[in-house]
Amino acid sequence: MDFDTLYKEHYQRIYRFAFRMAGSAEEAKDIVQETFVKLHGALGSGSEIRQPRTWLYTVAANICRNSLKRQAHYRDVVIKEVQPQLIQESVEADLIRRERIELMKKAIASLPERDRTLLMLYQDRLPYAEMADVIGVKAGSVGTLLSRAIEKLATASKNGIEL
Amino acid sequence: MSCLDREVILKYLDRELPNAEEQAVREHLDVCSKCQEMLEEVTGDIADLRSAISELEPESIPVPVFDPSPLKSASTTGVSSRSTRSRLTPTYWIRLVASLAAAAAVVIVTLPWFEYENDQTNSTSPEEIAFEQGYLHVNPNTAFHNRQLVITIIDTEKNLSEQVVTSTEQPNSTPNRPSFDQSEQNSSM
Repeated sequence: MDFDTLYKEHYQRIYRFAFRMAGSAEEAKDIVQETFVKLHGALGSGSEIRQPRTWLYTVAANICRNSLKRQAHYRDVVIKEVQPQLIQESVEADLIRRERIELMKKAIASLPERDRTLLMLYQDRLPYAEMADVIGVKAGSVGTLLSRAIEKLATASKNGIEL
Repeated sequence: MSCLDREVILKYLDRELPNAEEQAVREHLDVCSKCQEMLEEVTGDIADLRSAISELEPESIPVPVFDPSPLKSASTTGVSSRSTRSRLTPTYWIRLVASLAAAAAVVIVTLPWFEYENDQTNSTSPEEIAFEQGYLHVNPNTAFHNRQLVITIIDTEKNLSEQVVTSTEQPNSTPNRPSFDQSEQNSSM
C-alpha cells in the first residue's frame, strides 16, 4: 500500500490516539507528524511494513512515551482540555456517574505509561494480539494487564480514591 | 467449570477466548448467578472506562497535507533532541566551523571600529557610513534575509578600506527525510 493511502486512512486514528495520550492537540499533531515522517522514510528506504496499523500505533506510542517522560504536567493538561459530554440521564444519576467518570479520568492519567497506552488501544478496539505487538508484551499477557488496569480504575472511581 | 474471574469475563466480552472455552463460559454463565453479577460488573466498568476515555477525544480535524520535512515545532521535547542528533553530520560541522570563523573575522575587523566610535559624539555604524557613501553594494535588509555577512572596514577618515560580502546561502529545497530508527521499533511487523 502506498504512503498517501496509508496517510489518509490512518491519520485520524493515530491523531485521536496521540491526543488521548498527550492531552493536547498541538502535541498530538506533532506526534502524528513525526510518526508519518518515519513511515515516509521507512517506505522510501524500501522497508517492508506488513501491518501498517500496528506499525503506526507502535511508532506513535514510542514517540508519546519519549515525549511524555518529560511532561510532569500531563495530568493537569488532560483534566484541563477534556471536553465534557452531555449525558441524558436523570440529574442525580448523572451527577453520580459524572463524578465517577471524572475520578476515572484522573485515575487514567495516573496510571503507568504502559497501562495507559493499553487502555487507549483498547478504546480503539484493537485485537489483543495487536495490542501486545504495540506495547511489546506477549499476547497472553494483554488480558491480564487489561483486567487489572480496568479493575484498578473501577475501584478507584467507585471509592473516590485517587491513584 | 469453576467460577470465572474478571480476566476470563473480559476476554469473553471481547471475543478473545477460543471457541471451545467461549462455549464453556457461556454455559457456566447460564447457571451461575454469581458469575452473572460479575459479568454485569465488568460490563459496567468497561462502559465507564470507555465513557471516560471518550471524553479525552479531540475534536475532529481535517487531515492536513503531508509535509515530509522533520518536525520544526519544539512542543515535543523528545523530538527536538532526535532532530538535533540527525543534524550532526560532517557537513553540519564544516558549516559550523565556517560560521564560527566568519564570526571571529567580524569581531576582529570591528574591534578597531569600537575604538573609533568611542571618540565620536555622534557615532554611526560602518554599514551606515558605507551606505551613505554609496560603498555598500548590498542592501543591509537583503543581506540579512540572505544570511550574508557584510564585513566593512572604514578608517578614521571615514574612507572605506575594505568590504567583503559572503556568498548568498540558498535555502535547502530538498526535504530532509529521516531514516527509520530501527532501534526504537520491531521492524518485523
